[in-house]
Amino acid sequence: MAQGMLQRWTTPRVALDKTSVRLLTFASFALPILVWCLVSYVPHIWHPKVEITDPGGVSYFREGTLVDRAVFEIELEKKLKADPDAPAETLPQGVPANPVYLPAPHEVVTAFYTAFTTPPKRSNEPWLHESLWHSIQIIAWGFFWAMFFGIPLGVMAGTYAAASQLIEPFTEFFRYLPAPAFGALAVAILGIYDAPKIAIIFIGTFFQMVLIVAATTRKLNIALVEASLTLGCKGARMIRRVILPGILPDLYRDMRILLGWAWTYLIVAELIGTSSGITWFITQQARYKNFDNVFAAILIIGLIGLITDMILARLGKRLFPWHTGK
Amino acid sequence: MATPSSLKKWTTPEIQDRNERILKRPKALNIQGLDKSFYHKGRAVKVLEDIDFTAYKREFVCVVGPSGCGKSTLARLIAGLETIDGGAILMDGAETKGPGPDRGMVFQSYSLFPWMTVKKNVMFGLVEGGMSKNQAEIEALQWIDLVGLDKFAESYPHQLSGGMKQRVAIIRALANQPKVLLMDEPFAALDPKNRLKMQQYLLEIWQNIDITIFFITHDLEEAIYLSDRILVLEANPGRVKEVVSVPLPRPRADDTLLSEPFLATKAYLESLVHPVEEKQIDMEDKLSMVRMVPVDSEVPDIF
Ligand SMILES: Nc1ncnc2c1ncn2[C@@H]1O[C@H](COP(=O)(O)OP(=O)(O)OP(=O)(O)O)[C@@H](O)[C@H]1O
Ligand SMILES: [Mg+2]
Repeated sequence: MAQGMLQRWTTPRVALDKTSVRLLTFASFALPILVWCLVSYVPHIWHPKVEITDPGGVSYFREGTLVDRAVFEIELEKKLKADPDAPAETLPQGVPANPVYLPAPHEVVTAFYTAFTTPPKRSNEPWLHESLWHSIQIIAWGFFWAMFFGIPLGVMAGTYAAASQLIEPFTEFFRYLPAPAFGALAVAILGIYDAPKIAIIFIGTFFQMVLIVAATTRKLNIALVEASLTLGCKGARMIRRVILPGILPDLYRDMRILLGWAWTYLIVAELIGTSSGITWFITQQARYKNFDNVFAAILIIGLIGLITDMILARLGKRLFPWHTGK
Repeated sequence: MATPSSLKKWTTPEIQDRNERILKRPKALNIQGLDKSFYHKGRAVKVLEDIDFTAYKREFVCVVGPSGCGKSTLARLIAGLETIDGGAILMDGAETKGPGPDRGMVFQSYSLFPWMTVKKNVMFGLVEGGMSKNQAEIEALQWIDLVGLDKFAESYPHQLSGGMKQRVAIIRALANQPKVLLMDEPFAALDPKNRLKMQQYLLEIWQNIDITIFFITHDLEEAIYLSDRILVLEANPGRVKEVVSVPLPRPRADDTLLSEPFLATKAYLESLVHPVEEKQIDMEDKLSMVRMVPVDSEVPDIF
């Protein structure tokens, strides 16, 4: 059986059995976590620092601070030279440690909880859940406006060659302009609050969306369009009755992929004007060297993305029962 | 368009009479001096040249010809899915402009709307034609019933077999009541048994409604079995080679496929479609290549 499984794994483009799917999905998360655990808990895989447990008379050592391993060894050497017979208790002591920016898994796991329960430093600052909610709103609005303009333009470009020729060359050019580069401009025009952030999400996804939707529309089987023509359907009715429903499952998949892109633009968008949302939380926590909270926040973004995508994928299967291909 | 001598003896007075009566009917589809070229790497390739043909009301016409002679192109031109280079296509005396519901089409690839149930597919053209949803539904269900798919009215196309899909495609076109139904090798993908069943279905329906069928096939037996007249095209460029009236009585007898007039017609069509035996490809030469492949010694030489 194991051999059969292995054979499946190494045959190109063959669907996996259920066990393999579960096993590999689990491994896909377990392997990176395992590496993280090894680096965190097994001494000297990395551990370039030493956490001082006893200063042992070294003037600048404090209990609990991290020093480079080399520095610690030099100080230890010095002490031993000065007094080779010094008892072990009087020497500086410490345990191998990783830099503060790599917290151990258990610290991050607790941070998942504590990050939500820690009150903000100042009363007018938002809690983590408020920051998250703010980020989600920025994404939702930016993506909504991108879809509002992007889908109609893309469908037009994919349907009519003339529309394609009018819309796509400029879009093709504009999509190479990095969205963050418009940050300063967006602030100058739209102020320092949410509007410029929404604009950055919009710029980051809209142009790609037009091109992707146009390509998706063009991929619609031309025979369906021709069949509808011979059945007396044309013009705007054809778009509504044939083209839109025909591309809907693929359009839905495109939106799922683009929504992922929107999240990658979020961080830049939130640094523009007054820093806000999850990005504000992350930078703030990094400033206080609470890297466990930083990791927790980053992972929360990943989880939100993964979970929404999974929900949307499930929903897609229900919405488009005729769509047998993925 | 005289009947060729080899078929003359089978053309009984009744058949002769019937064929003549067909030609006296009003013209349903009139193709005049039709030209069509495609541009390939900047060079025009003439696909159809000076096609003249008339199909009369309620006639069943089949089109045969060597592969690539432009049969599909001809059907697409009639349907309005390709632009005409020269000549004209007239429906009931009026020149056609672009696709329209008066010329229905059934494609080899079915082309059903995958997001619509069978019922919605059949209703599509009716609703587009301005019929109310309720009325369209009633009519659609009647058509679905007619071809024995009532159990599948709410199924999606991907849940149907090829033959069932093709039946839906046919009734979707027919429900729209086109004057001419264009069919481009609609049964080519079906197995022989299903194909025969579909042919019988089609004849049954055709006999009961007012429709002219323009049916493309490369299967000569199918053409003879189905049609009143057969339009034979020749290739490079596609031109009308001959129009053959089928010397068989209607309705077709059960053993018609084995009858002498049937076989004589087939032989005659064969001689038209593949005039001089195509130069025998030198199989010997190719076989020597095959022989170079070592034969597994465990496989006994069965020849
Ligand atoms: N869109 C197109 N662009 C360029 N050439 C085309 C196009 N459509 C068809 N042709 C060419 O026109 C010729 C006729 O094609 P067509 O499909 O009409 O032949 P056919 O008689 O239906 O062949 P078959 O029996 O194989 O279906 C072929 O040589 C083909 O290469
Ligand atoms: Mg063809």
